[in-house]
Amino acid sequence: MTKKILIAEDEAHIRMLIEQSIEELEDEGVEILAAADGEEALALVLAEQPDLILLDVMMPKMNGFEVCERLRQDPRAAKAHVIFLTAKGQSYDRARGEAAGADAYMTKPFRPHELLATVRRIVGLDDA
Amino acid sequence: MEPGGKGREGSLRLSSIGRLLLVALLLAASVGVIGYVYIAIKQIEEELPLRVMEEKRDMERAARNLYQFLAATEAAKAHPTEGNVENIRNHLASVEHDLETLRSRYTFDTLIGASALHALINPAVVDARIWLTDGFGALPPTSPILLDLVDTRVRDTMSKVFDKTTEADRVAYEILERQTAELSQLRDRLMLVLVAVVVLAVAIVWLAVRQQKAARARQLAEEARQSAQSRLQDALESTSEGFAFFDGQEKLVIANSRYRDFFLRDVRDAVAEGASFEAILRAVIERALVVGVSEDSEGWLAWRLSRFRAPQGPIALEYADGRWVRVDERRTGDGGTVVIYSDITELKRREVELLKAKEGAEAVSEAKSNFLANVSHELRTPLTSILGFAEIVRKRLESVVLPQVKQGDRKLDRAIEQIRGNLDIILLEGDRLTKLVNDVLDLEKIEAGEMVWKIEPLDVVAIVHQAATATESLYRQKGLAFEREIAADLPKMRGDHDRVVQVLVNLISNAVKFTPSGRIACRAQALSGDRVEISVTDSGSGIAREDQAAIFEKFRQVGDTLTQKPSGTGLGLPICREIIEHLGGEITVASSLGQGSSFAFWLPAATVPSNERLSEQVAER
Repeated sequence: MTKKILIAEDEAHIRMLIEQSIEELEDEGVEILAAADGEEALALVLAEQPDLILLDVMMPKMNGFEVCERLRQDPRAAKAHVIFLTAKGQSYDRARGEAAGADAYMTKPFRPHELLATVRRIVGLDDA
Repeated sequence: MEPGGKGREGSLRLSSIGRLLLVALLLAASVGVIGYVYIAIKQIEEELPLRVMEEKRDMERAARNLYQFLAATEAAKAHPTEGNVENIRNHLASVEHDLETLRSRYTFDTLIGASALHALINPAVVDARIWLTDGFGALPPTSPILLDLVDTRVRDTMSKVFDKTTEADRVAYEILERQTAELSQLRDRLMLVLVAVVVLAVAIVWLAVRQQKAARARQLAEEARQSAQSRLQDALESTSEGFAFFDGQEKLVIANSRYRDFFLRDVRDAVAEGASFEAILRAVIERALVVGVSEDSEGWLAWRLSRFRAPQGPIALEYADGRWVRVDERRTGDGGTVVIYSDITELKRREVELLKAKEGAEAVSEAKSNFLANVSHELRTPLTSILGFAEIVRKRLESVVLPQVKQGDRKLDRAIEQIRGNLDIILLEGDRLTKLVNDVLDLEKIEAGEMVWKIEPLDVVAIVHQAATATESLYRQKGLAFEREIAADLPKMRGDHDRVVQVLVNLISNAVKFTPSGRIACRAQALSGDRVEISVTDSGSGIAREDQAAIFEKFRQVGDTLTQKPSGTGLGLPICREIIEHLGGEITVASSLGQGSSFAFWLPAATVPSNERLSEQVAER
């Protein structure tokens, strides 16, 4: 069964970096989707029902916390894993992310190999 | 008004009464003395001493005349001539003259009595007159028989008069004796009176002197009082504070002009001696002297009166004219109240300025805090790209590009090595920059009180283990030995788990960084006073004594910056110190150049059961 990972990130460079960091998972049958703002991300989540969302916090139109809270209330997206990727590294931000129902919280700058390892762990591709 | 004026008047009246009494006493004493002397003289006068003497003289004269009459009779008896008889008659006339004198004294029947003497002499004289003038029984006046009769009669009278004279002498003597005695007694009494008068005079003089002295003393006291009063008034006037004193009935007793003319100038009419405090307050309300009094005048009045009656420290009043006045009311021991008004307009102005400055500073501080948070965020995004793409570039290089490159070309190999090294530098410096951003933000948060602390009892063994695990790759990479010496039965320490681990990791990382070879020892022990210490000792380069104080300051890496490559952020130890001091502990260093360094920090021991001490300090944002 194909797994879907959605990247929600408004900064093009970072979106590119995240894609390149996990692109090797495509060889393992993972489909990678991308959104450039919160609303688009939420729409894609509901439409595609990805297994994992790599969610930036500070995005136009709708911030990551809100996206997370919204999709948690929707049965179509309730099972989706969420990893926050954010420059907001303060502990109360982390606490808010956890409260919103995130599986992990990674602060920028993250290292690609760390991100890949976390993604593998959460979507259950550790064996690869 | 002069307090005590009534008393002074009273003492004056008292002293004038005393003086009147004294004069009355003197007059009475004088009247008494004069009366006594007068009565005494009267008594002596009644004894008639002069009359006694006069009567004696009369009697002597009568006796002498009688004697001469008798002598003339004797002569006539011897030679009964008409001439001699005439001589007898002459003497008889003298005696009769005496008798007349005696008769005139009949009213004073004193000594032997003039009448008695008269009665003695008169019959003889009458008989002698008849006989010598008319004769007797036809006998001529010159008849020897008649002369003999006359002689016998006069002799007899003489004898009786002599007896009377003797008796009169005796009586006169007695009278004189008594008189002398009485006079002596009188003299004694007079002496007594004199002594009494002298004593009285001395007493009066003494009293007068005393009164004079007392008056002088009173005058001096009054002068001193007035001087003290005027000095007090001067002192009160010289102060820039308004001063007033109210008595127990809340009536104004004294106030300086500053109080009347500066602080209460708009209600000056109401500020008079004797005015009640409430009346002054009502005037203040009426003229709206103080801001806000018109809105709830009764409430304000009640508040002011209650503060006046039970002062609870100074109050500040804002005047309608913009002045600020500090009112300090204090109760005195006798139930009065001292009121001091100070002009604090300038102070208030400065206070407002300071408050503005403080608010400004706080705004600046918050702006700085926000700025740092924003800067750190803005730095993180490009750092993410730099570090991330550098890693991906290296990964692609290693896994995709290099396998396709032909080996053996020296130039190519060198270029590949350079690319690898350069990428390592990008990653290393990128990491350093990331850490710097994190440290700056950490320090800022601690200093701004925004750090969230979770204080709990910490197991020292676990802390050391965690820090050692986190730094294992570092000291293994350099081939350094890592030793742990943790005392048995060590109590838990009280602190924030993540922060204490952060400190220990920092200390171990530093030790690794400055120790080229040798070992690093991490020790933990209990100190006196319920403290637990953890130390990290290395065998590295050490720190010169003069540099040891500086290492805890921000951006102060010590050592020769020209020869030693700087590494780290320069914020590690300052953050450690902030954390340890915030947790109530202390961090110190002991080192000497070339002998290695030992960093140690202690925290309070968690001696109380953990569930009671577990507390969370959350700084408000």
